[in-house]
Amino acid sequence: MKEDEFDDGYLRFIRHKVTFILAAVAVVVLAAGVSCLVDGRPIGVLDVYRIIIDHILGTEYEFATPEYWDDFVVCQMRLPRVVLAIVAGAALSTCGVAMQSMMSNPLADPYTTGMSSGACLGAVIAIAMGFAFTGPSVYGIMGMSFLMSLVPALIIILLSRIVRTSPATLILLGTIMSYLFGAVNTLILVNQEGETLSAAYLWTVGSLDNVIWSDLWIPVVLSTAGCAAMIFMSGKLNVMMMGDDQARSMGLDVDNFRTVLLLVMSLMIASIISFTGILGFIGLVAPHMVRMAIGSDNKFVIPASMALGAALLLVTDTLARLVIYPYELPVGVILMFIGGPLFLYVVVKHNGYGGMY
Amino acid sequence: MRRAAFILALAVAVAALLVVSPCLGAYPVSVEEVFGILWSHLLGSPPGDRADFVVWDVRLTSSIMAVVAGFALGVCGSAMQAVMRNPLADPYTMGVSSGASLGAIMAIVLGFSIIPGLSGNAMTVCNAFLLSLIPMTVILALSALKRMTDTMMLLCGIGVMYFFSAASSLLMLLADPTQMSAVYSWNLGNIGTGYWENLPTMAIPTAACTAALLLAASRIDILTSGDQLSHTVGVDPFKVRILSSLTVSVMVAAVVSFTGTIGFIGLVSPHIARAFVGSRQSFLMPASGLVGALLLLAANDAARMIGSLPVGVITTIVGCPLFFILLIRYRRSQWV
Repeated sequence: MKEDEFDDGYLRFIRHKVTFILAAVAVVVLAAGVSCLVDGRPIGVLDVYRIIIDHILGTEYEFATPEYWDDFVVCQMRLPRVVLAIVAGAALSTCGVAMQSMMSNPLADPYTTGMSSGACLGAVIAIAMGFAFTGPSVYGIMGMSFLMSLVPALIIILLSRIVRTSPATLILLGTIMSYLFGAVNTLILVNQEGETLSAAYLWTVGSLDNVIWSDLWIPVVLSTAGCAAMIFMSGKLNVMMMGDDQARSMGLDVDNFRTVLLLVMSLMIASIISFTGILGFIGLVAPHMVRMAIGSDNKFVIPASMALGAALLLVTDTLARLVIYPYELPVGVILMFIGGPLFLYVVVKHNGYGGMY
Repeated sequence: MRRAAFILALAVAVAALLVVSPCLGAYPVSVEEVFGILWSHLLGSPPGDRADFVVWDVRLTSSIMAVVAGFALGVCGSAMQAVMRNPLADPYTMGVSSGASLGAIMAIVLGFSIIPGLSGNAMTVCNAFLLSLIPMTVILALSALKRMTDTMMLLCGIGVMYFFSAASSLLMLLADPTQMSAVYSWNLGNIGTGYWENLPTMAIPTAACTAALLLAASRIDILTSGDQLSHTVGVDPFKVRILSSLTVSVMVAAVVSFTGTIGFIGLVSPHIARAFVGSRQSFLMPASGLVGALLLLAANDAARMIGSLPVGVITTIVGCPLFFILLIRYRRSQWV
């Protein structure tokens, strides 16, 4: 009798969280459809889904018929961008959750710790060294990007092992590092191609423009694998949340676990950032919104943040394309608008005993 | 005596670099030519050829603007570090610069004036001044309500800065979406080609505010030793803090309106100057200002020699590592 009551209570407890995740997924599907509507050729809302499903089922159209062009526009021109937005949003939010838990630091995310800027600088260095975006040299770009994103990761590891820094100091270091990387990035890009400051700007702000299918599989595969790994390790992440000493006393090999986590995150971040440039704050905004809604058990927070991050990036990207249509804003500017105030809020809220300082 | 000598030496160094600066860049001009051109302008008969244009209208204006901006930022940094009792404070990290730059962009891009009836440079500077007050107010209010650590103040400043720089990017991109490079160099800080007619708007507030801060130097010194102590010697810390913050904002507004947000000059200069002249504000402020002028002038020359680079890139590359060292070094020690 008692056990049944307990089970009921637990089920209710879970149901609330699962509903949240499902709702977020529904928003993603909806936003994906809407995002496919923007640009030129007018296509109905429901038609978009039909076209996508038909395409997946392998329907062939005769060349140059209206159906052919509908299919071409949706699946070749608009869908890659949507897929990239979903993958990038999901992966960056997952990294955000993992970082916040790992460092027990509410402000940590790929952007504020400087890993995104490192990855971005790596990609720019590789391009400047002459790797192109298509063909086998994509691996070169990704590889450099991965290596450079390890620099901030290494500093985080060293700082947490050798000196005890407060979380705030760590974030400050990360922010400064991203300024530094951004400046070096500009230096390289400007020297390379004459006056390409706008290219430098797009890299540092992030934009989902100009993606094609053949590039996409690397971020998709790496991010999916990374997210799966994070979900798998969510129990350990929960333990890490209580701080290094507590986690050690619970029998977790903290230092090695942190190294593994940072490696996985560097891979995920590099695979995305080398295509989009730095997309800031997704990893900060999505997890905090999720935690406000469903608490902080990482088993649920990770999938929920994935869905919410994807939805957020899709919506902001669609907004960025609509605000000054037919031109588009870099999506990073809009993210910064949401992220700045939230950053401030987190700083002020987590002040005090047991806080970050 | 040693301090006065150091300040004098700095002034001489700035003057020397100012004369050499017009020689540096893609179009070659020798030092003698520069002297010739300067002399002919002093006599009132400019030659009007290409070299004259490059030296007098492009490079010299840019260099003088760099000197004024660097001086202002250096003085502001020194005053802010003392007033906020935070070794990492400067107009950039506290978000003051980004507020000012948003105000300036409102005026330049939208032609919108917060105080009605102004136009031209006055409108730009007034807008910049009013918006630059917001970050300082936020940080001072928060630190009055809650106990804030040094790093936390900085993080608040960074949060405000993200928001403001996003807002100014948005304004500029809404006006002209093809102008991304302009947005970027504004956010990074760019002196580029100066204009003679802008110089007075920059230089006069800078001079006036520096004078005001120098007059208040002894009170700011007292503030460094803590609020309670300053009460006991009869200085109202709140009043000094507000007044000097206002003065700093005016100065930052005057500079940022024409250069965009240049980072780290205000942070680094006081620390360099402090190593030579100690931390008495009446010496530290002018010394820090001159160090700032020297640094920004050198950075501006470097940016011009590399070609079409915003000067903020150089100051960031130099300033970040120094910030790192300061952050690690001051982590525990009590800063006075």
